[in-house]
Amino acid sequence: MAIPSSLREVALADLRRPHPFAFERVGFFTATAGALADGVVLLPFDYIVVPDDGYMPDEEFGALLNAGAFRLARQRARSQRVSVVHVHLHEHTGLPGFSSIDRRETDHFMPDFLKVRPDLPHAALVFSDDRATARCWTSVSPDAFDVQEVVFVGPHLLKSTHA
Amino acid sequence: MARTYLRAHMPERSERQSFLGVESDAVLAATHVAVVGLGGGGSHIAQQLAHVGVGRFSLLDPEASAAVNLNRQVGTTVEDVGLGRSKVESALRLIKSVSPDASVRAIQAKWQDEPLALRDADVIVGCLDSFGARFQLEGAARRFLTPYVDLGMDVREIAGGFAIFGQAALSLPGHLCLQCMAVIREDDLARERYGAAGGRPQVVWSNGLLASAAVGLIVELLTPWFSPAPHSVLLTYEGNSQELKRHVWVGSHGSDGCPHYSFEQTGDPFFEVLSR
Amino acid sequence: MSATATESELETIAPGARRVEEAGLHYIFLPGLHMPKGCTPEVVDCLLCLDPRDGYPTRLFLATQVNAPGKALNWNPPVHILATNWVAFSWNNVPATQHPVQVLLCHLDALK
Repeated sequence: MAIPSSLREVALADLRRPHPFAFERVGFFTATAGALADGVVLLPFDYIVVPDDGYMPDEEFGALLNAGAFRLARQRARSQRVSVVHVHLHEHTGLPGFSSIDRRETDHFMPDFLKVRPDLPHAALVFSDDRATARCWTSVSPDAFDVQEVVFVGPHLLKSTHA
Repeated sequence: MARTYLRAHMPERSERQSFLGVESDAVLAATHVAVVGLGGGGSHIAQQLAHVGVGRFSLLDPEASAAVNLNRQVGTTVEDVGLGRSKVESALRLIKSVSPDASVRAIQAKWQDEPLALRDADVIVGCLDSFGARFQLEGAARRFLTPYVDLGMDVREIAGGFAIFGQAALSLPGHLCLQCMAVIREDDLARERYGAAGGRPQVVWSNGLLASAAVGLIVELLTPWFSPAPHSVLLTYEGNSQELKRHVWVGSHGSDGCPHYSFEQTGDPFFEVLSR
Repeated sequence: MSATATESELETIAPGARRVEEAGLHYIFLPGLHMPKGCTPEVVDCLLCLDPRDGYPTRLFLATQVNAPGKALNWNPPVHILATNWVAFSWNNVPATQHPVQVLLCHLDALK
C-alpha cells in the first residue's frame, strides 16, 4: 500500500480528535488498485471523515460505527469504482498491530465491501504515530492476508514492512 | 549522536556515511530502486547506489553494449562490447562487485514491455534518451505513487563552440512534475516525432556529475540528513561553467501541488481482481 | 463541448465509453470499438486523445495493431498510458474542433 504523506497527515489529524464518548475514532480511505508482479497494490487518494454522530455507544467496545457511517463508504465504493480502506490509530511509535478485537471486527464488516465492489481489493489499516500495518480482503481469497509493505510517500519515504 | 556509538552499531563499510543515521543501513538495504536505461547516466547510478548500500535493483535496458558506449558507460569493458553483452549484464556485474548480497533483476527489455518490474520499486530512475520515453515513464511512476528521478544531458552548438548542459530532477508524487518544471514540454515531444532521439552527444564527466546529484536526491528521500526535506527538486547543470544549481523557481514551489497528476489518477484504471 | 457530453456522444458508438486522464491529457476509453469492415481483429479497445499530444492535435491509440486490408499503415512503437501499452499509426491533422464522433471517424478512416 502506498499512501501520500499529505493524506496520512489528514487522516491522523482527524483520528486524533477527541470524541464525546468513542475511545477511538475511525475513518476510511478511498483507494485505487493495481497489479504487482506478485500481488496487488492499493493507493489511497481520499479520506472520508466519520462525523461525531456516526458512532453509537456500545457496552462491550465503548463505541461502534453506526450503519450510516458504513453506508457512505459502501456508496463510494459502488459509485466511484474504488477500494475502501478502514483506518484507525494506535497512539504509540513503532509498528502497530491489529488487536484480537480489531481482527474480529474487521473480519466481520470488511467483506461487506466485497459485496458492493467484488472486483477490487479492500483493506483495513492501523496507524501508529510513525508506522502502519494493514490487512487486505479480495473476492478470490477466502481469508484476509497481511499487507507486506505500507509506504508513506513524501519528502521522506517511510516504509513499514510486515514482520 | 556520538560517532563512537554509530561506529559500534554499523557495519564497517558504512562508517563514513554514519551521519545518515543508525537505521540508514537497514533502510537502504530494504530499498528497491529501478534504473531504466543503463547507458552513460544509468551505469553511474547503479554503481553509486551499490556503494551507498541499496539492497535491491531492477535494471531495464534492451540494448547490448557497443563501442560507442565505451566513452561513458562505467563498468562496461572492451570484452563486453566484443561479446555483445547487454548493458544490464554489465551493470549487474558492477553492482555485485561492490554489493554481493544485493538482489538484482537484470532485464534486457524495454521497460514498456516489463511494466510490472517497476511497480514495487521504491524509486524509479530514468536515464533515457527520448523525451517521449521519459514522459511515459514519469506517468507510469506517478500512477503507482513512485518517486521518479530523471536525468538528462545534451550538447548544443553555440557561437564559438559548444555548450554542455543538463539536469537532474526529482518528481515527487503530489508535487511538481517534469512538465511543471519545464523539463519536458509538448514542443519537445512534438519535435521528437521528426527526428531520432538517440545519438545525442554524451560525455562521462557530465553524466557522472548529474548521476551523483541524482543519487544524492535519492538518499535524501530515503534517509534525510537535514531538514526540511525537499519536495520536488530540479538541479540544473551548466557544463561550460561547471555549475550545478537548484532551480530557483522550483525550489520555492517544490512543495506546490501538480496540476497534471492527481492522487485520484493512480492505479490501473482497468484493474479487476476477478480477471487475474 | 463538456466532458460529460463528449462521453455521452461517444457512448453511442462504443457503449461503456468513459473519460480518463493522465499527465494533464484527457482521453476517452472506448471499450470494444468495432473496426471498419474487413479489419482484423474486428473489435479493439481504443483510447481517443482529444488533446494535443506528441505533435498531433488528436490521436487514436489501440490496444493492438489492426490489419486493414490493402492498407500499409505506419505503426509507431508502443506507448505506455494508463498503466497499459497502446499502439498508434501515423495519421495526422485530425483537429479537435470537430465533434468527438467526427474526430473518431476521421481516425478510423485510415483503416478503410
